[in-house]
Amino acid sequence: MRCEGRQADGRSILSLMTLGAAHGAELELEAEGEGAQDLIQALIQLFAGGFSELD
Amino acid sequence: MHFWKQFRAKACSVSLAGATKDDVLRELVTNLVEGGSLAGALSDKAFVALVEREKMATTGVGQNVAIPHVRVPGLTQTAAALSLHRAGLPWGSVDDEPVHLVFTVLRPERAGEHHDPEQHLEMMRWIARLSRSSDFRSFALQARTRTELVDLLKEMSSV
Repeated sequence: MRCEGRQADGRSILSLMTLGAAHGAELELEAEGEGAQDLIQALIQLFAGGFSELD
Repeated sequence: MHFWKQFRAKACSVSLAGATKDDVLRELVTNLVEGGSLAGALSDKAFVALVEREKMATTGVGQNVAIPHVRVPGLTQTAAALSLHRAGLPWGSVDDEPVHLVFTVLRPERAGEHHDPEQHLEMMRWIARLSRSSDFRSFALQARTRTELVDLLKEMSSV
């Protein structure tokens, strides 16, 4: 996952925290390997649904 | 970067003793109050916020570290502490490992004279970088006094 030139490993919450991505930040997601397409699709759904935290 | 200055030694601890997560959360709040980082009148609100946060999802980020980080109504500036639980405590962490190091961060609900959300986010990035550093973790676990914990934060302020 990338944000403003910084890169983090999406599998690690601590790594993601180092992105310093504030609300409204633009993120770039990249996945590779088996199931990469499905993973990105699932993430798109999560973002679109506000991670079930928005009404 | 002087984020370490947000950590008062007296609000930190090298001897967390609680046997449950709730006990430890209460201990963390008490230490913040006794250390002069949190007004006593806000202690119940802070405790409730921490308990509710854990219910939403664990703050145990793995590698024996927990980062409980919540907004507290009525708070005007960040209150932070680094605390050590030598025996280790089950925290429902992402890697199922017990928690030994706890970064507690209470923040105001909104921006104000003493609270800059952008600086706050930078501080959280720094805390995440520290937590990922095996050097930091191993030195923190060896700290004998809370002053040593803050000295370590100062030493690693540019991590």
